[in-house]
Amino acid sequence: MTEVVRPEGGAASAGTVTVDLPDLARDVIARVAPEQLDYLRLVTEAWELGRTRRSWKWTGGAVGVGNELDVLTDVVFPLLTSTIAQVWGAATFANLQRRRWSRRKAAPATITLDLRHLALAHAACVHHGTTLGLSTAEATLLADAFEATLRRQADGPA
Amino acid sequence: MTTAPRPAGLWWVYALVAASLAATGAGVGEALFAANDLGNVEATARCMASEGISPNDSPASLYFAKNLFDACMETSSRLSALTSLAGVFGLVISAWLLMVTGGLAIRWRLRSARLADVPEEAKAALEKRFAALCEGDKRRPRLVVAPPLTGVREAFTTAVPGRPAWVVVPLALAYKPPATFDAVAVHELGHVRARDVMWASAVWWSGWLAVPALVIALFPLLSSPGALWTLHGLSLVAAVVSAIATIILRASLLRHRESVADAHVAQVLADPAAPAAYLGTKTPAATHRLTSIVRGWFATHPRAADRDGSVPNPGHGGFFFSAAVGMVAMRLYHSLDEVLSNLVPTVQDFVRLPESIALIVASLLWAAVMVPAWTRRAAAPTRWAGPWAGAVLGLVAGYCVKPPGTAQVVVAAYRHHIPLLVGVLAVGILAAVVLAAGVVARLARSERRRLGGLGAVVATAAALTAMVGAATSLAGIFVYRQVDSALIRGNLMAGGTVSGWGVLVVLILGGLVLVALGTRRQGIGRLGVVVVAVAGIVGGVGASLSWLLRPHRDLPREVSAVMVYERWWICALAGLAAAFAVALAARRRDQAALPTLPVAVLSGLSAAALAGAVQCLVIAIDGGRLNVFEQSLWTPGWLLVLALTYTMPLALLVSRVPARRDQVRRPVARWAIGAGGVTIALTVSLLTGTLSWGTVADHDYDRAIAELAANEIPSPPAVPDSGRDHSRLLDSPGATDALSPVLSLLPRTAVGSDRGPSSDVTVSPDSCEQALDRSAAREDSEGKVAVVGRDYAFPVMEKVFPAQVTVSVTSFRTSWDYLSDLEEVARTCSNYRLPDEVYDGGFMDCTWHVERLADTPYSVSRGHITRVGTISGNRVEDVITTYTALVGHNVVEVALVESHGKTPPSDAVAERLDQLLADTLRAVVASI
Repeated sequence: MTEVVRPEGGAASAGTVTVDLPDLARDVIARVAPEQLDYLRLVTEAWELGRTRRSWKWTGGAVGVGNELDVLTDVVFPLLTSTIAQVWGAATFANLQRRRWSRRKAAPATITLDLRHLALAHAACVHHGTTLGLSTAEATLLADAFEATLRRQADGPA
Repeated sequence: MTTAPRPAGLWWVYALVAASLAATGAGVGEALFAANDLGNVEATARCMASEGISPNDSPASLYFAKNLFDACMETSSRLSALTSLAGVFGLVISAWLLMVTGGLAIRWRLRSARLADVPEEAKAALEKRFAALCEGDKRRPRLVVAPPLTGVREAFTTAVPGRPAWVVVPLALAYKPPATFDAVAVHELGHVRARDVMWASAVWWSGWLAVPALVIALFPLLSSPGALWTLHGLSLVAAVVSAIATIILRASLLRHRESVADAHVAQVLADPAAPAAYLGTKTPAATHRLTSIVRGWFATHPRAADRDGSVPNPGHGGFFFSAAVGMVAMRLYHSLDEVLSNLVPTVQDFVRLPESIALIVASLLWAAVMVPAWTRRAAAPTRWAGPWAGAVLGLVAGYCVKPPGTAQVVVAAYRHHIPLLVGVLAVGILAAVVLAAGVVARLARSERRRLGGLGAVVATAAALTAMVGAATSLAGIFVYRQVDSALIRGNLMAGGTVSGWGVLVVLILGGLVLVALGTRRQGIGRLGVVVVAVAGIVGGVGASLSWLLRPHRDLPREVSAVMVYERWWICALAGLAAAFAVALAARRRDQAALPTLPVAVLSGLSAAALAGAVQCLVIAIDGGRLNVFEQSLWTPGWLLVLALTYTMPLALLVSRVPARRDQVRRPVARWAIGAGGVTIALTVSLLTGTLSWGTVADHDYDRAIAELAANEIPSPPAVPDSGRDHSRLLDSPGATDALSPVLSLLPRTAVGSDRGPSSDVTVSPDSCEQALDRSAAREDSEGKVAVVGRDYAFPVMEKVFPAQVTVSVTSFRTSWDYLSDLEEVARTCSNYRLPDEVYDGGFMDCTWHVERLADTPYSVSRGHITRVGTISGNRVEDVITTYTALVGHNVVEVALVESHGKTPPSDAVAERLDQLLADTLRAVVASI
């Protein structure tokens, strides 16, 4: 659930938006790859439990292709967290980290984002997307979806 | 989609892993034995002290006490061997269990309950496509679709022995284009079909196990870091370096196999671009160049830019691979030698047997791995400097640094001579390596590689064994003896005759014959035959004339030895001329010279053998007695191997010079005449001393013969002045008393017994029999007042027959010249035949030689009888040494009978036995 918080007496453009990260991820994926929504449910569960990646190399008994075979859904959480951490600062990032460390915490982790940094967040999202192995086009697609989702939520339900 | 052939298996990786684990396990076992005192050193030392054996005793002293020494060491040696074997099995089983455990751990993580979240529809679609891709596979792997909760982000293959492999793919693949799944699945099927998982796992654990296993074995020493470092520092460093090297090599091999799997994808899907579907676009983070290089060593996958689906070059056979194989082979040699020496000490009659077996096994392993790898490498234009350097480095380092955990005796023994050891080993090994490269270069051009490959392995392994044996033997004399050039030459030449390595020449020859048969189309046909025939006959005639045209009868031994070696060297030089002629003639303008090397060496060995046979025939006609095999094939062949090693730099230089067209087309006759002419020139050079630096020089055997002579005639036995008249007539009790000091002089294990009645046998020829009869009649006529004799038997090391000392005192009524009579009989019986039903044919051939010693206080003759026979084809030789003293009325005779098979006692032992005999004689005379 996304909640828009407006500063008392402040203008809408200077406002913040409080979002639940899984909801934000679901909204982004719904825009760019709606066929992966049921897969996102499983990815979200894994992300909430901190089981996003496991190496089998210590056994010496696994021979693989050498690349992670990700779809957009696989990178949406690392993309959003790294973008938010870079743009909205360490405090926000720490909040997310706490959520990951306390894996089974029932309470939803919401974060509050200052909407004045959306342009910066878009650029950061593209940058992190390419670092995560996405093509520039894919990274831009996700960045657009991310920005659009936040703007729509800041504007409130239509 | 097409059906692709199964990628080549990597059997040799398992061979290397097994050998490496075995060597490391044996080392760990030895460390466990030493660090935990499993052999009970104190008890062993107490046992030796009680027997009067000191660790500082000379080998000759220990020789007599061998049984006692063995008895004290028996438990310890056996336990050491068993601990080493336990280490071998322990490490191999541990590696196996870890392989299985690793696979089972993955299966547990991916158990059914954790896969339940996978949407059935997506799973069914992937399984359907996978089944189509597996069409034709006998053992179809299972497809496992892993949901995000399992943490699987990368497709991989896993296997457990005896169960179908699993191809694990992340569920994300269900949301990618079907072509991506196809490419990924076929890539993994490539690994399954090549059985890559099992060897990768085996190498992984063989790399990681060495260090922890060694640390566990050395646990009692961990509290004393100083002692740990002093005793096992080098081992620990070697273990760590080996572990890192193993992981790097595994990564290198895996990178190659990934490329093979990519090529498999391109071939099966008939699309060279298919692998791009799973390669991704992630840009690697910028790092320091050095970091990037080091990461590259450990990377298990090639860079994405290099994965274009093309069939890769054989990634192995280069510097690191060759070094690793050499290192593993030499470690196996050390471990096997250690275990065999401890486990079966009784075979030490053949002193070098455990070492020889170990070296042959290690060389076979090296050749069996390197020949196929280098053959694949040679199929494309390649540079050999890296593989050669790697092979030499690995084999030399593997010889010098024993497996982790074992006592580093090589480094300790050679201390100040390590550069020398490394140098001679490197030269010898390089010769074997160059031969191997020549053989594989020839094989690579052949389509019938099976026969040629077998020959290549045999020839290469034999060459390596011979070279390592000869090089270490040569380096060894620098440690233990004062060395001059004659000794060096003698040692090198003896490598082919005394130590048994010469028989390897026959294996080299046989192997090269198989290579030639397997690569017939590249043969040189008539040219080779003619060159070999001409050079061989010219060399044989030259060798014969060098003997016949010079005085050669009744020469001092040091002179005749040089002349004999000159004969053999001439035969070898004929082989050298033939080898170079064939190598030069066989070159083609557009071909490398390396493939001609095996044929050249084969021609050289054939020419040397032919020359040896010719000179053998001539010498036999002249009345000489020869061992045909030794003189025609064995020794000339070995000397040729030495000559080829000497001239290897020249041969390599010549091989770099392109052949001129007119040179290639030169008629066969010219090459043959050239080879014959060079043989004559080399023969003249040898006989005029120009080549003496590397062959044989005039006075090479002076020192050795002088040492032998010194051993043969010890200092005259001096009789201490006891104030008694030793020449007086004795009665029986007096004669018996004279024998009383004997037992105290002999080894503690000696057991005395009265002499049994001797049975008369009739020897041949008749002249000898009559001389013996006359002598016996003369003795009877001179009147024996007292005749006393006793036999004393004692074990000498591990000989089947104990040595026997016989002492007798005979007092005659008259004082007559017994020794002259004895010498007359010996002259008549210088060669005679002794009937004995035990031996094949019912007889032994004997020689008898007696000489009077000068400057002795009383008359003494020294006799030497050899009796040679065969039992079931096995040669047995009795050597009887006698000292006979005539002191007035009394004749004192001491005799030593020593029997052996192929290996006579060492010089030190022979000297000790001779001294023992002289001391006994002196003591008996003194006690009269």
